[in-house]
Amino acid sequence: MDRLELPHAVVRGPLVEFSTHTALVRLPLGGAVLVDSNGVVAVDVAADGDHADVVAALAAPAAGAAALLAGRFALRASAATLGGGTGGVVIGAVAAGGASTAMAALVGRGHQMLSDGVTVIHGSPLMVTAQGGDVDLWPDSVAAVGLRAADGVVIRQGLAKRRFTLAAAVRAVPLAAVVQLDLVNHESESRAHVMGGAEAVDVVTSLMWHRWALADLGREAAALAWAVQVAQTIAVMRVVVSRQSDPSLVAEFIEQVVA
Amino acid sequence: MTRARGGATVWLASYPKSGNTWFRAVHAAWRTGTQVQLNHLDVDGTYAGTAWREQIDAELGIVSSLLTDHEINAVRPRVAEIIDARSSGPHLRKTHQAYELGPLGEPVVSSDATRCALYFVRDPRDVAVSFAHHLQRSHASTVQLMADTDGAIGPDDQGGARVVREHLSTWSEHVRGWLDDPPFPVLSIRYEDCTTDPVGVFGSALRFAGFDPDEGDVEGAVAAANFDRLQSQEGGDGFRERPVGVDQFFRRGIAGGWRDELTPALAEQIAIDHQSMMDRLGYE
Repeated sequence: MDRLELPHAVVRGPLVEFSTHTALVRLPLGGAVLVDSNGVVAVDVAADGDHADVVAALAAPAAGAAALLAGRFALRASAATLGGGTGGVVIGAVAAGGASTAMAALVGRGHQMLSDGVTVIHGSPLMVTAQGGDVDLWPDSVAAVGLRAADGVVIRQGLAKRRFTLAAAVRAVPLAAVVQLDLVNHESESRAHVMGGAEAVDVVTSLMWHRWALADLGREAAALAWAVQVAQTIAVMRVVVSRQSDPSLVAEFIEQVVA
Repeated sequence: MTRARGGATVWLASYPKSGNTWFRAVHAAWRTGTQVQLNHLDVDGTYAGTAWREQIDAELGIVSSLLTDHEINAVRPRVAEIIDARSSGPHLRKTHQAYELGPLGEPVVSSDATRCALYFVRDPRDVAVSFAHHLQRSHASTVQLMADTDGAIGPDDQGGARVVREHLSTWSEHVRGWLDDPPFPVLSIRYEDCTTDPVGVFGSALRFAGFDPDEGDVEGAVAAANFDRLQSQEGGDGFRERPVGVDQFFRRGIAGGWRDELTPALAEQIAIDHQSMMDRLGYE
């Protein structure tokens, strides 16, 4: 296949480029996907590459780009239902900071999965979109959330993460809370506090996919207004727990503080 | 996106356990003019180490946990350039990564982003003892690691999956690569000299990095960040950079401690493995 290019890009990063209606997301050593507002529309595979490998590696940034092109904002976060499916909690964290594990642990406690890694919030009142039941987990968290390692599917050859399928919600639910999860190794007591004002807005914006591109895309003001809307209408809270905590206890704590 | 115009990043480079964190603590104390807050060393947002996955993901808009080590090494220079482009003055960044070529034939450390490097080096026998404790490995296996060209630290060694793998190579090659290969200025700083003349050595390092410290202020910073205070603070508040399962990051902090901790056979093995570089650096 010919190399994919985006000649009319208005913003170019090392691996991600945006034009008004499309985005190009690349792998560093070859392979790329072209994305529009509906998702991936073309895949470029390096000479010795594999189509499924490229799609798997770039699925999340592509989904984040598609949401942006569709006029929505996607968060680097995972989400699950709470309250018997009447609401949804969005869990964000730094990369590899435990958001997917906490979400999977919530599902292990009887809730339903809404999303993993790319969480789209939209509408008024704010709703969390259900995006299937696939979650990517590190090996050390698999057993801790009640899954069997043998059930994990290799995402990319040679990498440690595995993909699992969880019980998933089938429709969007109202957003109940945004949790910024902070796993620390120097505190043993779990704690939570609800943030307000600029602090809450900062948390929401810090979780946005392709935040670096918003200014050049002319979406910065809209993104800020959206983050303010989220922060003003939904509880945005920081949850601090020990890195050594059992994920089910983290999930239980999230249930308690969101309730 | 704006490409880097280069020249502001000051690399704090070292093989692990060679004094990098000590310098960061002194710098933090000097910048703030107060006591060191061990869990807030990042006083200017400047200490973002090259290993943190969150930084790579946020700057590039990808998911680094779904990239191979080769793919990550290919984009390390771009991450450095993006971060460098945002800085207005000398900008410190810690790295344990070996100075070497990445998969595209480009050094993994971007010259375009670099002002200079401070390279911290320590007697490899003391490194072996301290690194073994840090890795929770035996002295013998750590000595082997230090002689392994594939030597690396990664998610299992320093902070779980939040960090990416950093290739170290051998201790000798790590030192040689950083001292001999970069096209930018590199100041070599011996840990042992920091223990005997911390004000002079750290003051020179700050000036080399492009700062203009007053000597009295450096003296105050060195006092605020002395080993006993760092150790005491870790004992009270913990240290967020301490790996899971390690009881103490600031353990002894002395030069020559290997003499009562390392067996003669392992000390001799290190001397055999690294004789040439030890001679060059004056480690007898």
